[in-house]
Amino acid sequence: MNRLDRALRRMPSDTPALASLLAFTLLIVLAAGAANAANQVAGQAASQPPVHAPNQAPVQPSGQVPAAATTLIQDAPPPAAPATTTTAAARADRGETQGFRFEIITGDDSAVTHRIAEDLYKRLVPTFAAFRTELAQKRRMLYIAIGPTALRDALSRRCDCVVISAYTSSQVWRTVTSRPSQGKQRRPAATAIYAEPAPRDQMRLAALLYGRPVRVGVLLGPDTAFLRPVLHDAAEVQMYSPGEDLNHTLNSMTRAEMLLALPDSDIYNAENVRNILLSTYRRKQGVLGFSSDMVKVGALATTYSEIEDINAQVAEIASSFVATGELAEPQFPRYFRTIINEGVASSLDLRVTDAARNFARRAPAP
Amino acid sequence: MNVRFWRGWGVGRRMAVITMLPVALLFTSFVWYSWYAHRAQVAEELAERGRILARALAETSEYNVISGNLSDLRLTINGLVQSDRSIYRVDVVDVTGRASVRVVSESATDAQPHFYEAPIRKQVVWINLFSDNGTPHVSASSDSRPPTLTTEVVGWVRVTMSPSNMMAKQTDRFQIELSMAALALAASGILAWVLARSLIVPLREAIGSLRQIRGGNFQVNPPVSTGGEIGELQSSIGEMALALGESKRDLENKVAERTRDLLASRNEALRADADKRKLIQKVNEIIEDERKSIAVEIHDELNASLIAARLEAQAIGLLAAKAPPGPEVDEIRRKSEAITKLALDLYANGRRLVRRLRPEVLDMLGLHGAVEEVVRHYDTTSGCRFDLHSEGDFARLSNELAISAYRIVQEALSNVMKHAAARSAHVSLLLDEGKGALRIRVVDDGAGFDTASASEGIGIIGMRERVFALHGTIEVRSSPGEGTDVAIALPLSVPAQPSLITPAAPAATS
Repeated sequence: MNRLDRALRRMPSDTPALASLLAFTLLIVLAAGAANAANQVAGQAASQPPVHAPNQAPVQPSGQVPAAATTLIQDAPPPAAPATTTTAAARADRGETQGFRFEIITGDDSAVTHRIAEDLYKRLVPTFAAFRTELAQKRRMLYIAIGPTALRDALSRRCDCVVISAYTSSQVWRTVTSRPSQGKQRRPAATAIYAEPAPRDQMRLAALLYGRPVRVGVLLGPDTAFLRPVLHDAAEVQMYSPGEDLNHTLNSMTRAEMLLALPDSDIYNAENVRNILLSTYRRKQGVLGFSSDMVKVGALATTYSEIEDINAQVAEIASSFVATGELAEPQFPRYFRTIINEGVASSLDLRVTDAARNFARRAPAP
Repeated sequence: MNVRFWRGWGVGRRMAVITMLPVALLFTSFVWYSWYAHRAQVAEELAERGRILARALAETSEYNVISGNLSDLRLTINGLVQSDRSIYRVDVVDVTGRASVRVVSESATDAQPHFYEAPIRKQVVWINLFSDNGTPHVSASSDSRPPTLTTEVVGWVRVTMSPSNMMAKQTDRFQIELSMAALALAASGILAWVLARSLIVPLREAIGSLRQIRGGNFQVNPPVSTGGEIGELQSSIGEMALALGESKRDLENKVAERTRDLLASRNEALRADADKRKLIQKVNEIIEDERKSIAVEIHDELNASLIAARLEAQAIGLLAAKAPPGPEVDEIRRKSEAITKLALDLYANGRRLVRRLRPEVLDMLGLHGAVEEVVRHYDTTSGCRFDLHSEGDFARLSNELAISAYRIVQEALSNVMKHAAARSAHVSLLLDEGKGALRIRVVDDGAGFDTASASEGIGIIGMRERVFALHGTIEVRSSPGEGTDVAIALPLSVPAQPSLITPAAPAATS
């Protein structure tokens, strides 16, 4: 760790962004090499003079970080952001916290995770740049958890901090957050952007596909039963409890023209997915999946969000929180696109319109 | 078993065997291999189809087995089984081995004893299903296509194949191949026959020509009907026949020439022979005449004189008897008696001489009597016993023949007396009217002699000459210690003078 610090310090750099990127890249390489150790790296603006930007030691003991996880801590950068400066000043009046800093927590070391973290980092840096002159200890920590493992990690931290969960399905989010906290430990304030598409968007897509309102069936298990009130009006809800014959349950869902699949490991697991897709196909029921991979393996269509879409939404929530101090409610992805399996569509005698194909809500350009 | 049994075969048979044997072997091996290949093909194809069917059915029946929708599966499999006659039965069994679906073909008749089995595997799609497993839940598509993996086996598909349909097709093909091969075999047979015939026919013609040549017909000119060695043989036979014909003509000419020479020589010899016989006969005649005249002289003159001298001596004796006795008178009487006796002895000797010189007994007694006389004479005067056996009427024999026969017997008996030292001798005279011959045989049990080594004495030579002069034959058989047998045959009538043969006309030339 010291070696990296020294290396970073020696590194001449003109632009802070480039330096950050370099530091991040090095960090990934190191993280890959040290499989067992938890790596926590302070992403410093190396070009800044030591006087203005004192080095921050890692705030967490390494033992608390899950294996092979990487935590990105941002507590600096520059270019003047006048809007946030005033906000920070206002926040400083309220207590000892003066501004915010953020940390991206990852739960694994995959390429996707790295891509998410990299993109997210770039989006968040401007928001937090205003607080770089404040002492790190006085700034409130905002954790962004990428994936379920990272979410658990973030929620387990004892601090006056805020967690934004991304890339975790509503079911897992609910499972994790409903677990009672250990002891008198205060749980951090948390919000989420669910990983799966918004049911409302899916319903609209269904209507677009059929060109008319359609009867949509939904299978809900114990973990997703909380969605029943939300879906009750729009869809035919069929409850399923683990151990039942799934085919029987599917067979009883006769009135539905489509099946809206929601992430629920009791229902949609690796062993079942193919069976469900085949069963519904045989009954001429299209499946609205919850990821484009699912569409690729045989679901009819879905709305989905690219990494950039989710990251944009994360950045918006973070920005809003930094500005107002109010944390948004857990929400479904705001920005989405649509993918349609044309082969399945033609098998189901659906004429796919461009309106359906282009059904999307694009994120504003950063 | 004879290893080289083919040695007795004809060219045609050998040719046919040489041509047909490889073809027959080829045919046999081809037919065998073809049948084997068709069978193997059926087995392989059935195995392949069985495996593929089992695999394909296992793939397609996965969903039905998992979802329990077996009626659909049964319909699908039934359609397949009834459309493909090489499928006998399809079973779908679950993991416990219980048969879930069984479809048996309605058309297939027989089944293979084994089945082809493929596991029905549950296929699992590995995509991110937003489970709580650590990875971020990303609804956007991942880069790679999600893998489809198989996990557990949920059942088995067992396909039992029926070989009869495929076998029937292969049998049809085999029959076509068999008939084609049989056609080829037949064509080869015909070709072999034609080839063999093309050899046999010229060879038979050549053999026929050679037979004709052997039979002496050199006028054969076998046509050269083919080329190669056979053609060469044919032309060689023709040339040989020509050459043989020419050399035969040459030989015949030479033989004719020699024959002419030989005939001339023979005629000459015959003439000389006849002259010799005449000469001997003449000599014998002269001898006999001379003997006769000497005998007459002795008989008429000498013996008459001796009788006169005896009578004179007897007269002296009588005178002496009348004279007074005295010693002189007695001397005279004794002398006259001595002269008388001497005269008588001389007379007797004279008579003996006459008898030998001129066997008047022959005139008086005939041949038989004369021979009897001479035999009796020898029988009484020697220690040897002689006897005679005769058959036939010898009176009609010519004088010349009778004398010769008599002399021959006389000579033979003389030889017996002089050389044989025999205890007995047998003479036989036989007049064979049928064959017109007089047979004389003198057999003794004396010392004998080796006819091959001993040189003939004067006696036998004289006998031969007499026999030769009379155109007779003489045979002397003897061996030491075994006695001697002399057999003579004399023709009753002298055969005509052998004609002089003129040389045959030379062979007609073609």
